[in-house]
Amino acid sequence: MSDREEILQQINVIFRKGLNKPELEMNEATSADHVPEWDSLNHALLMVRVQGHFQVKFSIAELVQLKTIGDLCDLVEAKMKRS
Amino acid sequence: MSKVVQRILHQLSSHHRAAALHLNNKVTSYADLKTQVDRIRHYLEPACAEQPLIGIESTHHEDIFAGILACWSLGKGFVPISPGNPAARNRRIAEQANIKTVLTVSERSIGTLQGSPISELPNKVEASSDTPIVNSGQIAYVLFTSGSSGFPKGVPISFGNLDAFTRSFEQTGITLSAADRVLLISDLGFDMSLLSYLTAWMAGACVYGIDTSGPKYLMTAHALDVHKISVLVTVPSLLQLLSSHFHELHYPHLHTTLLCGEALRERLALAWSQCAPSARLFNIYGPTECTVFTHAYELPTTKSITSFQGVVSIGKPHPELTAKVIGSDGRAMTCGEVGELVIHGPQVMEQGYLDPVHNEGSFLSIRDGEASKSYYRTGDLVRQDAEGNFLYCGRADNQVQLQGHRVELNEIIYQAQQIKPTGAFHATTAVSASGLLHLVLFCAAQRTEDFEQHLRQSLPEYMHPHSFIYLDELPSISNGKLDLVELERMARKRIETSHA
Repeated sequence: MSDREEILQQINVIFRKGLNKPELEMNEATSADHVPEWDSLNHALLMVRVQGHFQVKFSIAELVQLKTIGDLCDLVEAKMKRS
Repeated sequence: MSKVVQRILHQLSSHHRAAALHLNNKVTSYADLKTQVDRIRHYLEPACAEQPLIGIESTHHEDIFAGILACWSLGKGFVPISPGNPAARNRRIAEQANIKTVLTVSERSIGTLQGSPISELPNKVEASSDTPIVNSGQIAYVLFTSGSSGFPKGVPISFGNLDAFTRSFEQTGITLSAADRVLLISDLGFDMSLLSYLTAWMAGACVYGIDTSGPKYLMTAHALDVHKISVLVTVPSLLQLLSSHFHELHYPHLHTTLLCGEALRERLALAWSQCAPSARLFNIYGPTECTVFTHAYELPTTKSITSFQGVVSIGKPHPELTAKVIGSDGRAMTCGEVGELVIHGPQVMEQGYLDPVHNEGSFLSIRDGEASKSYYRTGDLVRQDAEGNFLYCGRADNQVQLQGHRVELNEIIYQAQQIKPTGAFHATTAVSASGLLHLVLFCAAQRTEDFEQHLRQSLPEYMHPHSFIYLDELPSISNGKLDLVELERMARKRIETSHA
């Protein structure tokens, strides 16, 4: 499994737990439009959990750009390379 | 004509080159807005002559704001209808308000309601120059709030109420000028939105919207920075969502923050003040039934903040209003005693709810000298300090405020029972570690895949439960009543586990 696939898998685990949706399966194209529970409130909490899990920090400017799970994987990947 | 409407229509002419709206990267000048108002008015005047209330698609779009002003210029009231609402809810709203016309941006329908797209209205702009005679008792808008009986409650606010509110607003000391940039975040169905656009246009200022392509809290932070917003009107929970980023936020151009719709925590207010060091911060309070807000408290910078158990005071009522604290026996409470806040005065809806069935228990008659005065019962528990400041202490009923929206927990239970008539349900809230309120629904019913989906379809988005807990039966205590302590413990545990 590539690093990228590993990140996607771990993000899936975080979202399943955070949204209490054990059956949730997201791919890189998944966005909040596809997951009804992924609202503003849960978004903030999920981002805190993703940052904590990968030991990275996102800025507001970076978070504003995120539209899909693929964007989130890009951001995590870039941050981990820099750290 | 209503003084506030007269004043805004005057601004449309006198500030004609200035920007009135900045929405979706499009700037609309006061002159452009006036042209559009006249065009819509030209249509409404003959076509809807017998319709005192006009439905308006609840969308941040320049045509919609022109529609609101066109209604007001004719002495008509507007009723915001959200395209995101369940169709059955919108149908019920239209029936209650007897709406025959719904002005829309481009869609021909909202759910099952037939819309009249504003862009397709006739292009003639020569509206009648006659100023209609508007009685101050005529309705300026109707907002629908969550109802404990399971159905939305229509709150009619008159032009007289609106005029009283603007007089009150000017006495709070909140000052706006034509140079201001006022951020509009909330849906038009929430009266916080009036605080943004009404007060901005009274001053000849510009209203800025936020980008809707991402979460509201992030887009708000982005808009404050990019548009150099000077006046922010929002709910505390939005700032709470941003709080982990406060260290990177700096808004030197923000001169006023108005926080409303929820209890404001002192710690959050102080932390936000660091992000906007030049801004005056007001905690404002008021039920929809009393026209936007009735109390205001400016957080002092040189002395300690007045608060109760960490919640910032809501301050004093506007001078034209009378606010009292009443005990469960109807007795007026003395300084420091907790009771229900009741309000009387020209901002309180005059005729009661649109459906009189909701009036029961909502008003209290209090003897004042020779006369009896009708007070609106807010359902909020407060106490008053020696300086006359009111302090929020909680609710007297089953209502909660979720991200500024008023939610009757019984409405959620009612809708759940409509889907699963044999099930038993209980709705409650739990606070997460980050200080945010989550809605939890307990379901003593068989878990089926489509239940949650159906429930979401039958409730507006702000009423969707964040968590569902399925049980064989709801826990009860020995007398058969629900074990509320246990249910709250389970809800807290669920929220802690989900976001640990």
